[in-house]
Amino acid sequence: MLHLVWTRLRARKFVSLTIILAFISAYLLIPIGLYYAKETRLAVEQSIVEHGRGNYDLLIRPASARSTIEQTLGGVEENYIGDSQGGISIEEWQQIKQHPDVEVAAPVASIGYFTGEKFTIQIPELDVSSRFTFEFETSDGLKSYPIAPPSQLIYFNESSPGFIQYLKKMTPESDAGSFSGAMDIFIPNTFHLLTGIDMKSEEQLTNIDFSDFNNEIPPLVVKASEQLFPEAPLIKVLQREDLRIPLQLKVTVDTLDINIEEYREKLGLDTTAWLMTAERSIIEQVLAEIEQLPAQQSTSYDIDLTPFYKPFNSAGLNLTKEFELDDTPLSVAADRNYIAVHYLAKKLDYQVKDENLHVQMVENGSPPSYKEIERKGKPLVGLEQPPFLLQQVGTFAPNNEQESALTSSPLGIYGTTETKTTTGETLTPTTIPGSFIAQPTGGIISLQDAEIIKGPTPIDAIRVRLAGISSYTQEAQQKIEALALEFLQQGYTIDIVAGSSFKEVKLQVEGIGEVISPWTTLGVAQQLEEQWNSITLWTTILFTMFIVAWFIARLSFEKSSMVYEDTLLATIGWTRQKIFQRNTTEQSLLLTMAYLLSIVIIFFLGFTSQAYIITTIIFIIALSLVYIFFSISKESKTRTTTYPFLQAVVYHRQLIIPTMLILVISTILFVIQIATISDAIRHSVETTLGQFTVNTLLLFQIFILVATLVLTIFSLFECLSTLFYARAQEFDMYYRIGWTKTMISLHVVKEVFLWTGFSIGLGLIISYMILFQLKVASYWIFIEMLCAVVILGIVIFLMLAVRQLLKAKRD
Amino acid sequence: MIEIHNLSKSFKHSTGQTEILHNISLTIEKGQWYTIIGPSGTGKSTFLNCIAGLLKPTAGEVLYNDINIYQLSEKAKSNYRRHHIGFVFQDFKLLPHYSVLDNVILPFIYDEAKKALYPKAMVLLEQIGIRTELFKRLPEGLSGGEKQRVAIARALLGKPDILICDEPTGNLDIANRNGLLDLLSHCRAQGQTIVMVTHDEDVAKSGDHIYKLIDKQLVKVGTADATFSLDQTTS
Ligand SMILES: Nc1ncnc2c1ncn2[C@@H]1O[C@H](COP(=O)(O)OP(=O)(O)O)[C@@H](O)[C@H]1O
Ligand SMILES: [Mg+2]
Repeated sequence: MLHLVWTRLRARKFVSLTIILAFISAYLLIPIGLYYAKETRLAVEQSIVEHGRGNYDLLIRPASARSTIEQTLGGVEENYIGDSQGGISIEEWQQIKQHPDVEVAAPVASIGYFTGEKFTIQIPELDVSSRFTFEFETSDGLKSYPIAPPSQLIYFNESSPGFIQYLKKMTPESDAGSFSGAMDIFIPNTFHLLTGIDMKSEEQLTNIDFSDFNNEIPPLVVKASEQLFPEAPLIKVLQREDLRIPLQLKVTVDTLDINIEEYREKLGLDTTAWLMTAERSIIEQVLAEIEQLPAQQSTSYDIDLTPFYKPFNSAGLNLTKEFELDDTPLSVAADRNYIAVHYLAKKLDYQVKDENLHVQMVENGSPPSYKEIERKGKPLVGLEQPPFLLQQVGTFAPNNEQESALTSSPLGIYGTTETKTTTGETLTPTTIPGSFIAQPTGGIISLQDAEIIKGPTPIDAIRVRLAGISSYTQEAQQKIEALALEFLQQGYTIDIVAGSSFKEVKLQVEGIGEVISPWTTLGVAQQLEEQWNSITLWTTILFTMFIVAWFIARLSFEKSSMVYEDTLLATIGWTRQKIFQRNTTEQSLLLTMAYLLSIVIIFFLGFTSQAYIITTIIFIIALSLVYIFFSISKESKTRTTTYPFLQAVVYHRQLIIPTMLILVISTILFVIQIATISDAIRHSVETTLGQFTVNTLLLFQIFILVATLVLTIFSLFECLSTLFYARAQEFDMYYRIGWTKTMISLHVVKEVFLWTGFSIGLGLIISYMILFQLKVASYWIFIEMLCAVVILGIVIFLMLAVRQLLKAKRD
Repeated sequence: MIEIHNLSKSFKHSTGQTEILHNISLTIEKGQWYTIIGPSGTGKSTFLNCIAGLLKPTAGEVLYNDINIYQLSEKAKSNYRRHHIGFVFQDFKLLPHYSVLDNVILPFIYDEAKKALYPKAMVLLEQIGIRTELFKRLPEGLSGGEKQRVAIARALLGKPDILICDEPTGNLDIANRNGLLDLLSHCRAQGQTIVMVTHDEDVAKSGDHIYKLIDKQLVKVGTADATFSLDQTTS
């Protein structure tokens, strides 16, 4: 018996080999597929558990703090503290802080943009009389903007030490410093964000060192201010060390051929007088005259003030004769008039126009302003008592690496994210409150002091980290949600920041152009997990379905391809028992050979023991299916009337229908697999955490696709070669009756295309319906369907090549 | 019409070559019936395949109207078979999924419209003695004799110059066998050239020229008029 079966297998070498290869792929691919499906889920879970949690879990804001744009985009603006209206009192914060599930509750109270104390830059005394022109500029990263009109200073080289002769225009704000003997200029008004925090909580949340806050205000200062302004509380400020707000100074030095005596006369002064003691109006006249004088020599210097930009530090700057900056001037002038003036900036007003987000200028100034500004406090006049005094006692510097690039938990005040134009330039904040890019906080004060300036409910937002959570697991997520609900019920606006990630949002910004801004998108982790879970589920279901269909199909056409031989054997007197035995032995032999080979391959590939078990289970199931399948016998009756259409296809339906079934299922598998995966990837890469998971998973997904492709090719290969084998006589006859090879090919191609086309079409329709249910973007569906058609088309041509090959071998 | 010059055919196999036909020459005249007899496995089918352009001889040539058919292109060879040769097989080789009528027109469905082919096929089938009600049947529903008649109708549809029959009676009972031989005689009477091979001595009595394939050679054993015995010729 075995010998007989073996001879038949060898006689159909090609078909037998294909069957064995197909089985090997099934034996190998199912365990690998299942393993990777599990792996995929684990990898997603793992990356989310590891990276899903940021600095904090919940963002608590006052009721109705959420802006319309946040609702539209499902995210949180980087600058969520926004318009500094406050709304949460210190007591309320303390209540939240005392909640047993809260580990850290770090409040933020945005106070506003302060000019702070203005200070001077000392100008060098050169060897020749010179005309200095000063131009101050800031930048938004793209363009520079002058922030004050150019100003001039004329230096006379007849100066003597301690008695510098110069002329400059007096502006109201520079009055205060103008009477020092030093030659200097004031830096124009710039604005700096001041924020109130709780140092201890903030330190716990961010690991930033705020210990400088314990520094005492120098007793001299305390004494002086007590004398001058007994009413005004002294507020300690910590200044951000590494603040980088662009500020440039362009100095043009023109050497002039001028004589001091000539101008003394013009100013109406005597020979020993200091030039600046002249009358203001005359000084202005003289300055206008000197402005017209030709320069003997002219040199320009660009000086970067950015690193020296220390708004709450009243130490002045010094410009050396080499035109380099340092912070050791001989004398400093300070201007405290604007100390109490500050500005509140509203949030950016995003507008949705034709599917795009737009941001318009509020004022096309220099630099342009994008936010509405509200002025608070008023300048001090004369000896008026200020409401408070700011005194810098130290610095802090946020650690830039502390925020992971994968998850977003915007701290709101440190400006850690980068916004870029579509052409790649990084945008920077400008020196004004209405800057498109919000300034990071330039100085911090305590919450209690914030209350003094801002009133009884100073807090704009509280960032809460939960106690007892070490990583972002399902359990943690539930705990976070429960606490969020609790605070929500207390009337706060709550955002679950854990599991959120950065998503790039495109903005059309007036005066800047197209801008890409990283937005914190909430709920990314949960969404990712759901998405990948459902994809894994689909993949597994479809893959299993495919394998089952494939196996049943191949058994059924195996059975029908044997019908002829079976009847023959029956005629020569074989019992049905024997025929059954022959058929099952043949199948078992194939299955076993493939199984043994697979085990060898599994061994060499070094799979886990699980792979052996799964493969063995498949082997056993396949064997029992063989026995069940061949024991079902169906009486076939001879048909004598013709079929009305597609005679060949209908006649060979026993062989063709299983093949069609495989085609339908593999088409569905393909389309769904490619479309859902691409769609998921497309969604995932929108966020940095998603991108990370995709990078981890891409290999697995590609493997599953390749596996599907391999199995489909094998089964089609097998189906068609069996079909052609069964119909070899028919094709041979065509040849004998004188059909040319072209005619035969045409005949076969027409027929094969008819039913393969029908199957692929049906598969596409079904998959379209499934994809529609899954709400996958329709253009992907279209593209993937195209791919599937192309791939399967290639496969069919491959089959025809096989046929030619079979034939060539026979000739 | 067909001239066979010094035809030899060997088959290669793993251990070498086996010569089946050796140096055979034969002229097939128009309107004559040639019968070749020989036991199974002597190379009768091989010989027919060589004439039909299906199998290239190892040596020698087959001339059809002075054209060496093995110098023709693959396509021209197919055309030669389709238009000049009708092939009748022992096992009929009818397509089980096509009706009788469709089977008959099969060789020409890519040359002519079916509409034009059907009437020709119907006339032919009637002449050959197939009842009209069988036309739409599948071959499965026909008797062996009927099947072979349908196969002959298919072979004759293109009005071939030569009808090649490879053991046409091999699967038929005596009554059907005689009927078929009558049909071939009838064709011959109409001027049809026939080459038939058989291993059946009774069948071999039909034909104008009778050859025996023996020792790789064709040996003329007589004509239908002459009485002969196989034993005589083999001795
Ligand atoms: N394609 C082939 N390859 C090898 N041997 C062949 C082939 N066709 C026929 N033969 C051998 O040639 C011999 C003659 O075969 P065949 O012409 O079919 O004999 P007949 O028709 O007289 O029974 C046989 O021994 C057969 O095995
Ligand atoms: Mg033969």
